[in-house]
Amino acid sequence: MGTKSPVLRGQDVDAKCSGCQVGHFCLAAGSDSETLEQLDELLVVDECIESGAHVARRGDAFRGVLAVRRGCFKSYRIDREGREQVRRFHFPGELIGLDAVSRGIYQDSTVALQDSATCAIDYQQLLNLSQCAKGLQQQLFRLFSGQLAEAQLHAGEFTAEERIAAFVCNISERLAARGHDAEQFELAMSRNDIGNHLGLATETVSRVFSRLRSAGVLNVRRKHITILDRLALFQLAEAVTDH
Amino acid sequence: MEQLKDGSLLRLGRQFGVSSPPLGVSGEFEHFDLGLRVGAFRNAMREANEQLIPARLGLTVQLPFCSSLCYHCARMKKVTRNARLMSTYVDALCREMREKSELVDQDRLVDQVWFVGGSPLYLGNAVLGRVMAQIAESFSISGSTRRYFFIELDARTATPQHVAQLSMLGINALRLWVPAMSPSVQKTINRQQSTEALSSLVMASRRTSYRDVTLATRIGLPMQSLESLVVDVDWFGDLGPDNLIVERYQHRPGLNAAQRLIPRNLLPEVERVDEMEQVAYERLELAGYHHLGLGHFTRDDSVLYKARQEGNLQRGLLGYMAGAGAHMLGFGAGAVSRLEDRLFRAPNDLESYMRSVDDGDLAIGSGVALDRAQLRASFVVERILCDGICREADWSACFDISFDRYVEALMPYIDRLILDGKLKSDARSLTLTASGRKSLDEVVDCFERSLSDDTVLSLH
Repeated sequence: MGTKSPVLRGQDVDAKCSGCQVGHFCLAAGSDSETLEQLDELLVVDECIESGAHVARRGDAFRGVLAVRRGCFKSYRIDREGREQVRRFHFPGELIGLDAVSRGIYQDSTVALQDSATCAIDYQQLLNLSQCAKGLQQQLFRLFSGQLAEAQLHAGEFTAEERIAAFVCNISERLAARGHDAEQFELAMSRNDIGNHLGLATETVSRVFSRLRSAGVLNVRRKHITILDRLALFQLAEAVTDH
Repeated sequence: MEQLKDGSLLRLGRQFGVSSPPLGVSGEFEHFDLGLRVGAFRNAMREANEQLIPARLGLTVQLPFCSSLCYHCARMKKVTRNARLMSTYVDALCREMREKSELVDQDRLVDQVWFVGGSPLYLGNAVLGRVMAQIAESFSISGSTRRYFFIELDARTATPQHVAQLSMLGINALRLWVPAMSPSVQKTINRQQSTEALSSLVMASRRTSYRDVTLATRIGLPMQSLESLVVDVDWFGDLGPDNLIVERYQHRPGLNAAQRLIPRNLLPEVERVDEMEQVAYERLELAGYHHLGLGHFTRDDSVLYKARQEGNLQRGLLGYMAGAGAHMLGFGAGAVSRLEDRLFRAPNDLESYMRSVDDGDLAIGSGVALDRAQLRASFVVERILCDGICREADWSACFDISFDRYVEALMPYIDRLILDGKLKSDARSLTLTASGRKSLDEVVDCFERSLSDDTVLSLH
């Protein structure tokens, strides 16, 4: 198991849901103040997760879900041939560990792609709390189904352009929902991770970004994306998102 | 990490080939080392691979051996006949290539290779072939017609046969060093070469369809006169190479031991050199050459001229080059690698270089990361040197602070240039004028000085 560095407990109110920048999009969304206080009691914050550190490993016993406070994570599996398969990316306000809910062990390994922070919460306690708090229950459901929606990005018969466009739209929407700039953002993942996630060769990812740049749809510099023609991007992505 | 102090960036840039011709690559670099080593190099390579659209790659290969000493030369080189030393060096070079190439994603294409001397051909065609084979084995070579494989040739020893053989190795660009054709100048710098040999090489390069042929000459050499320079320049113009480089000779005997063999009293006076430079520039323009800047002239059908039209010009170790934004990987003693804002250099002396390769340190002897202020200044300088203009739109694609604010902060340093009509400034651009192009050194110095200003440094 990776780093378990300094942890903030109960008394530090700022570090919890009420003071959190992504609280509005995370578990706390739609909860009343009473539920919020109870959530605060249950959360254990880890502010110092270094880029490259694992927060879950496939096969380990489920210890509870993690909500991303800051940074970005990648969940992946290693297949029988030893190849990595990138399952999904986790942004602030999203949950890590839902893959472990049904069997009690992690199906995916999850690693930080940049310096990040999380809130850990015991899953059983979270469920207990949600049974008497309708707002929390609904939000949990939304967070679950959001992850299912992301899964369809790499299923189905789509062109490389359509997949990349849908991927960029998906990230843009997730960041926008958290109050970030929807038009320009820095990706934490490498082109290798993106290709792997979308079932495309690494060089195809770069070729498609190159084409989208030449066509004036995106501006791309290092790992920074600026959406120049949102309509064109949507039209490409539509094939995947309508699926 | 210690920050670079005062205006050392652009001078550093020159050392590294970021923004000015660094032909006098000597020992000064060590002052700029910020302690980046092989670990930092690996990180920079990984980040480069992870870019959504990775930069194209250029390779610089240092082959620093010569058969005899030219007194004016400021390069790092070894005059030797020791075949074993040269062979051991090439072994290290090939190992360095294999190991560095492991850090490069295989879909990244190499479309530039630069063989730099010393005198690369002194090692022999067979050795060059071996190095080229190692490059082809270690890297993915671009199949594009824009491929640019360059070599420096010594017109005293190279023959038309060599030119043809090099072409078969994939070489398609060459630079011939002809400091001066006047026999009295040649004698004082210990470099005698004939007009016949030179013209036969230029002819041979045409027959074998080289894309780019450059003659590089010097102004201000010992015994050089305005008259002898004019004869040379007119003759070079008649030969009609794609590019002509007319650079000032820098007499710095304290740094370059060989230059101590040149008696100071044989050097022309500074005023004479200024006049020579002016006359040379005028005659080359009359002969139909365009001045890119810093004494680099090019014809309007050349690779560089086209690159400039396309906004695709950048400054490299050897002056202007096509392919803006390329990452350069250096191999061999003293070689420089440039990856975005990070610069790395191999140890300068042969022994330390070969030891570093043996130790598995990838020949990373020193390295720096440019800070934000340095990046901004070098960005503007690079655009002005290459395109003659830095546009707000180009700026905004790279930096967060507004162009206006940056230019405003620079004003105390560039207002003199504007008053003198060398630079024009408006809300959307900084533009170099024709007279500014003739004094680019001064323009660069102004930006360099701005780097010691707290207002400029602290802009965010």
